[in-house]
Amino acid sequence: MLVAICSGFVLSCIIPWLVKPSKNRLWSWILAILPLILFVYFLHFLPQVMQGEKIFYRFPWFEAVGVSLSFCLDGLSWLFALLITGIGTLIVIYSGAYFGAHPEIDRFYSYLFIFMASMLGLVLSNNLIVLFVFWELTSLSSFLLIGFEHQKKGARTAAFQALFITVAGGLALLAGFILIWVYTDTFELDVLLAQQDILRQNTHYLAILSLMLIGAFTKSAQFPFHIWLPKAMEAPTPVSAYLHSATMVKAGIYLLARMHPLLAETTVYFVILSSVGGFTMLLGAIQAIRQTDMKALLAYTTIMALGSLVFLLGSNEENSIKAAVVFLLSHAMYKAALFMAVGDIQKRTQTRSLRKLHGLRKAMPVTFGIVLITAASMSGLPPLLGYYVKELVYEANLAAPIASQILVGTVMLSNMMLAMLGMLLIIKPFFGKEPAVTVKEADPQMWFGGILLAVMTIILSFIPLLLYQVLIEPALSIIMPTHVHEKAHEVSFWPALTPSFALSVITFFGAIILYLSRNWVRQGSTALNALFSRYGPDYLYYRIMEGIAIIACWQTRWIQCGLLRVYLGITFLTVATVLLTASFFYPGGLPYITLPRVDWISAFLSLSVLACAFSTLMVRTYFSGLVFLGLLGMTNALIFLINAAPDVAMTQVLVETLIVIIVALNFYKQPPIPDLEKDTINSSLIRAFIAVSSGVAVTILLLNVVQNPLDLSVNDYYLQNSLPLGKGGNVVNAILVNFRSLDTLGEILVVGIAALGVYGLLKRKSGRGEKQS
Amino acid sequence: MNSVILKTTSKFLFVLMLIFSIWVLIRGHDAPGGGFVAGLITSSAFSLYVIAHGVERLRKVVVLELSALLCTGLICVTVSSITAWLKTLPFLTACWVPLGSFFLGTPLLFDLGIYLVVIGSLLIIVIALEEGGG
Repeated sequence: MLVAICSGFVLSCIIPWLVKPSKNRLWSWILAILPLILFVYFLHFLPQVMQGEKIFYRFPWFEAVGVSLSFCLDGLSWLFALLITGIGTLIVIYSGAYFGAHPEIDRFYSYLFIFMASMLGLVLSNNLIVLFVFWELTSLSSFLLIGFEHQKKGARTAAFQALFITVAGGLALLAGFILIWVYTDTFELDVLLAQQDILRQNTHYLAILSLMLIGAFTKSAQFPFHIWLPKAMEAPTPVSAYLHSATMVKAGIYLLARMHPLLAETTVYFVILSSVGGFTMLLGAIQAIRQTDMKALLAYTTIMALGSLVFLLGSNEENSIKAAVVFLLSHAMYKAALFMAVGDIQKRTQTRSLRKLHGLRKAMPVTFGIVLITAASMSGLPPLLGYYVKELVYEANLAAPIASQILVGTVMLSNMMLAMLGMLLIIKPFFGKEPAVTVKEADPQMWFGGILLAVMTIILSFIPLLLYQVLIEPALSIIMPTHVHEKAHEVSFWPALTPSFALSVITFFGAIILYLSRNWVRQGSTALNALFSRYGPDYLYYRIMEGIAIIACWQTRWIQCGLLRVYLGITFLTVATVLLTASFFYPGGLPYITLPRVDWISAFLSLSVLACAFSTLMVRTYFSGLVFLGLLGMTNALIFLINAAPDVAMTQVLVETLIVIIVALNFYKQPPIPDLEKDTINSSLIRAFIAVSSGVAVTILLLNVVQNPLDLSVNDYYLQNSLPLGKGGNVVNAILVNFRSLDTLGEILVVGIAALGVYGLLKRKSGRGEKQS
Repeated sequence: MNSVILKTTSKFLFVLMLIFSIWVLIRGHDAPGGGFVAGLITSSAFSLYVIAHGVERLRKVVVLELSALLCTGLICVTVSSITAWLKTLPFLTACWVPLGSFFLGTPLLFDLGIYLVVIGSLLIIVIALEEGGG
């Protein structure tokens, strides 16, 4: 299973070498083979999943903190995995035709595969931290995908907003997971799910719940975090079809479904999810009505759909959960198909506006067929899947213990609006008079995916038993383990005379009325929207961003003034303060100063060092100061040599030489620097103070170190093991490249980065030089 | 710098210092020396050469691109770190291959990597300075 997930990542790394833009179409078919293989691979687990088995895969990783790479394939993740890989295949094929010979298409496929692999990892993961890692990876890859057309400012802003909101939610999610670990001592989902009431009965249930809900709501675009989704329509259509209808936004829903046995069935859960979901549902519907761009309309209906999913998952009724699972499936299928169809229309008519499109029925018959079927599914017309969902929802809400009238009313209203929108999509672009310019049918490669999804919808609608047993039942028993197995349940999508049927009829007629009076409704929606844009979450987001920028500017202006001596001064002062305060609080008390007995050469060298230091203070030009500093360093090296540290001495000599050379080169090649005489008394005093305090602080530190008993156990270990384990006689080298090679790895990376930074700084052709006083 | 003495002596010193640096690199395993010091010696050699002869001559002498040096060093380091994975040992575990009484192992490759990175970085800095940035 690990191979299945990682294959996406591996493929995305090698794509840039393989794919050339000119052969885009061919490559899209070849690349689609991978998701197809994965789809078939997951499909072959069908018999096991139907029995209710769970297939695990574990790989130990960071056992010390409870993080292991564990994956679990059960009904719920299986359903999602099929959706991800199945729709992924279709999207890859679609992108081949949509983009033509786009020069950056190789990057697009890379990002797409990274996303697909991350999403797979998310739904298959059994460990909360691994789930979080994949969660963040999906946020990152969707950022890359939304901002694919990075030349456009709109795309960049949208991508950043999406990233910011989902990552902020991700942080809350991580906090929630860590809280879970603190109270249950495990990150493994199967362990948690085996003890179902463990979280509900915890005193911190509310905190955990709210953190996880924030994470899920940001990802699944619930109010007030929904603002990133409509903007994300800046992404190319294949991205919207995949991410923002079928997969990424469903990640939050997946989380809610997965944690349902642990967190649900309390009143507060029901209230929060129903209200947030219901409000999002209505909000999405109202906003959708006033859209004329078809893609924006689909975006808002996605928000609606996500709202209803959250709404459904909040309840304890089995029918609601059943409806949620079916709706998940049907929504993924119809939304992806609709987005693809919109892309078809856009490609052929260069516009997505409902106002401008009309009469495409004869010109684009295949697209018309796709939209007819999928939009009908969206509206909930029998006998398609959507109708089944609506029926279940009505039944569930009629039987709800609290406030069933409000719930039913909310659902009915939103269903009416959704049906109206479906009709809008079917009727407006396709009926009416013929278009002025001849329009051709879309490329077969583009409607291939749409037709497949539409056909799937029809098949699943007409063979409900297949649907139920294969896809819904396994997922349902994961979400609600107390659910009673109904194997021989008569599932029918045809209307039967029940109260919910009456509600459906009312909804249908309500939708027709709304459609006929759509101009009125549009005006109302625009008015509401005006209110929102002035005081709503979008406005809040922009104010927050501005506020952050203002604070950052102020702080930077204050601290980073561009003068090197100020930076150095602040650094040394801080170090000195920290060391001095630490040494005052140190239990050993202040050290005492004794004059040690030294041999004459050490005394001589120490005096030379002091002499060099004084000379540095006394000189009148920077260059002489540099020479004396170099001399000071060399004398230090001699001191090291005397104290049996030849490696350090060699390094010191060379480093000193190179420093003198580099600084001297800098002096000669950079613009001239002011002379030392220009210093005022004040600045000299400040610098003297900083220097003296740093010196005193370091002296006290060193005296403390020397006067405390020395623990030589680490030294002894290295001395003894250098030859047998490190196979070398040079202990210092063995430590550097063998025992502590991880540190050295980090250090040389820093050296490399510093060199590149220096190069970049020096090669800038602007006239600014650094003041180096 | 247009000094004939410096130009002539630097040619000899340059070669000597390079040989010396390789010697220090190889002996670093059992006696004072090692990758860092050897890299610094080489960088000093190149700095001397650049001060005497100028950057174009130096670029001709150092045939490779500077970033290639840096990257080769990083590759050596990475390869030596992940060879442990072939034996399913943790990252950066040292693997040794005995050759008679002598051992060849990944720390030696690591040291070589350090050597190349240090040379590459310092050369980049010195050449950027010498070419007169800003």
